[in-house]
Amino acid sequence: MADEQLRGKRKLNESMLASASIERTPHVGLVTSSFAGGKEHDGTPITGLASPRRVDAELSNSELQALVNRALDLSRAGRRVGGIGPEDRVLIKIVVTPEVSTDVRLVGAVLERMLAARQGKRITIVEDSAAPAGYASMIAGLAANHRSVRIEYLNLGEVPYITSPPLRRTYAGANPTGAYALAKLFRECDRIVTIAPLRTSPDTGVALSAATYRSFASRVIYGQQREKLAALGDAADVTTDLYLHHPPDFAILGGPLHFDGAAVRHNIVIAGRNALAVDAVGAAVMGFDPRKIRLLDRLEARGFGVCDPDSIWTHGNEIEEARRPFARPAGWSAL
Amino acid sequence: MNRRQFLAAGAFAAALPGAPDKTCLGLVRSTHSKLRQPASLETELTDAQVREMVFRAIDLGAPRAGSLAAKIRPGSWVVIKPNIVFLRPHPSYAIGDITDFRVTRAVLEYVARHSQAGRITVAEGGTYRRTNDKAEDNVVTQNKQRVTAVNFDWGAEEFPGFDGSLGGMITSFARRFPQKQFDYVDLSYDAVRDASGAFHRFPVPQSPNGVGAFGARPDYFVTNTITRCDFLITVPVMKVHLQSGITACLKNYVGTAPREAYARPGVFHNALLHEQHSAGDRIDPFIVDLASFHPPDYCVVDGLRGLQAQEHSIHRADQTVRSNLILAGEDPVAADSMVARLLGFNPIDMEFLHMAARRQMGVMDQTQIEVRGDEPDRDNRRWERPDRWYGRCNRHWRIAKGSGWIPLEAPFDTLDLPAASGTPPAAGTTYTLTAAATSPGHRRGFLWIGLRGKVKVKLNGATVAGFDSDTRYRAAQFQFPVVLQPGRNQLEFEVQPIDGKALLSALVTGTRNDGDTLEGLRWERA
Repeated sequence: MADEQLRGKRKLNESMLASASIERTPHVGLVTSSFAGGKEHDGTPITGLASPRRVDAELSNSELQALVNRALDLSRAGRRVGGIGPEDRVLIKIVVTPEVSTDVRLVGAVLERMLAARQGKRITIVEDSAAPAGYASMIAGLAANHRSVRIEYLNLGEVPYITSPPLRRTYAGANPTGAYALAKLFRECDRIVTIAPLRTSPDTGVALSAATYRSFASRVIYGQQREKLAALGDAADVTTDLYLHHPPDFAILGGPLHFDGAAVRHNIVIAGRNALAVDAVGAAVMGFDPRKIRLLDRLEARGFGVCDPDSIWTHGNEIEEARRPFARPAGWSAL
Repeated sequence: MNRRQFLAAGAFAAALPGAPDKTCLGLVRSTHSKLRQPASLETELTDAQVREMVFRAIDLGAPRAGSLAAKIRPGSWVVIKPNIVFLRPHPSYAIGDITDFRVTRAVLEYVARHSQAGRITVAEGGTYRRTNDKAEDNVVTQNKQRVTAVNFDWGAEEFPGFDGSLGGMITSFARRFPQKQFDYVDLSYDAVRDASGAFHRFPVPQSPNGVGAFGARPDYFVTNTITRCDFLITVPVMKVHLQSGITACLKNYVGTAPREAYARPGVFHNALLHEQHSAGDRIDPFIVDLASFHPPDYCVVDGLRGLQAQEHSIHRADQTVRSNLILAGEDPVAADSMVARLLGFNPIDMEFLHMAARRQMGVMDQTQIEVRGDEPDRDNRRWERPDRWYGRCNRHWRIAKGSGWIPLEAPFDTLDLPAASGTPPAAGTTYTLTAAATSPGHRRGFLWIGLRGKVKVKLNGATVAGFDSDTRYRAAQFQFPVVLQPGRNQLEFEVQPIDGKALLSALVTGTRNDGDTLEGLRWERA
């Protein structure tokens, strides 16, 4: 073998002690209502909830608030949610469906935490529907105590939209320009926080943080259920296109009620800065292999993070402890 | 100039054989028909192909002196400055992040073979500690030995045809050209010091037309090598950059800022350079300021493989873009303007090009650039923009003051209206401004506005937007569809402050609405 070939095959063991600021492992807080404490991987004890309850118990408002705060604490986000600054315009994207919706108490708990930390100057809760019951009074109550912050609810179906180009390569095969008609405030906001329950979907297997992005597409252009988006390409590709405009700055999954074709009671909150990692942990808790879910697999391949639970650092409960298998949606198949 | 002087100047120019009227760039793609082995733009090139492309681009991109060799005076100290910001083990390294060593080697060989340089130095300051640095961060090891840019072994696969280290390459040249001196300088540790040994700052030199520093702080730590060498060749890799849009010949100067003076303990990054010298929310001012200490005498751009979306790896397989081209010339502004075009940007959106042109470092007007070799607009692609990219906003305003109008050229994208107008914000204060843009024809586009306050916007007398914003100010945050008429278009803004603040910026994009200034649009000077 020639010298050049030998040199080309020689083994080079390389490493670098990088700056402390370079830390790529996604951290996700994962807490069920039964969490009584645990240990970090390095043995550091983790304080549990003051009043642990069964995962299928009905929780009081204060118990749910404690659950949310514990998960946010453990997400390594610190006191501040998603790096939101005091002057930021923040969108909080919730989920409202006939079957299951984001628990208004969960949103209230997150908002209280943000307001206490002086995060956000204008906070807009958005979904593709009129404000569900409880939001108006929750907003009024918070606004009364935080008069310098504008808190509002907007129906995504009724807000102005704007044609927005791809920020990078687009993926939907039948959308040659790559442009989408998107809610204007989606493009203009500074930060996005998603808060969603655990759901299954016959189209995407699980419908978690990333799946909620379809409702940022204009109802006027794409139809009531955004059904015309299907003409632009594969559902995972279209969702990736929407997602890449502004991935969540913070993602929260959970609450007390979820859906897998039937109502599921499971008191859990999963939270973190990387929405793909949060969705991967959520899918794993639901008994799915996140790597076999097309949308999550595609998002990982396209550089939005990792979906392998082994590459995600969960704090609080272990995924196995929190697991509550959801029924596979009819008609959906894993990769 | 009178008629006699005009005729004399013309006769003198005509008498110079081959003297280019315009600034000249050589552009050679791997498909170039006069190469011995043309190859497709997708092909992995051999070292011989890269070498021939570099040599041909340098010959085509001849400086006004006639040739690169002629411009280098006998006995000169020539410094070649590639981009080696990271070594491979850095978590944000990817192929296309740094200058291809085959390109650096070809430039080195060209200078060694064709010029009468006395000393040829490869110089760079990257994110890696030198081996005797006691700090423990950013230490790179290879086969259990601490290494730096000069002795890091790249193996044979990273840059096919280049096998080994930069130091090995330099040693090899020293053997081949014994009459010349070859060495490497780590610019991170080459700061100029005063007699006491302390780092010494120097003010940015004034350009011949009297332009000084653009950065917030006008005096910089600089290196011995950059300030003292006779001839500087910048050899960057062309990439997209998160903050300046693109990075090539001029942005390469950030690697000349000595990290020993500009890094914070524990992080070997020019953090203090950014903190002390950024201005207007941009890094462009210190890019041009650093270049002012010794503007490039010649430029060779590695356009073989670069990174889109941003300048370092975001761990996406499609981030590295292969273009298989080399660009060369003596005018760094023209070269970077061409790089912007090759990457699918509008060159007028590059703030640092405007600043460098003001310092007379070169020309950014594409009509004044002669490209020899390959056609720039053939085979072009639109490289992926950085997140939240926006081009250079309008700078030419007229502000109503009393019964008249004050023309104003804003130094940066954003106009602080109370400061600019001299009218402090009070209840009922309204700032009225106009700006005019010339459109090459009937065009649809989008008006991007950054706002703190309450605004009404009219375009050619018709209202196009009215809204308020009291959240964090961000240039180009709000977008509105607009239709421009051919020729002059007048924008009028009425801004009322909120909480004592009134900030405004404006940009017009094309139908792609991607943050690039609408092609052909020009803002009128007030």
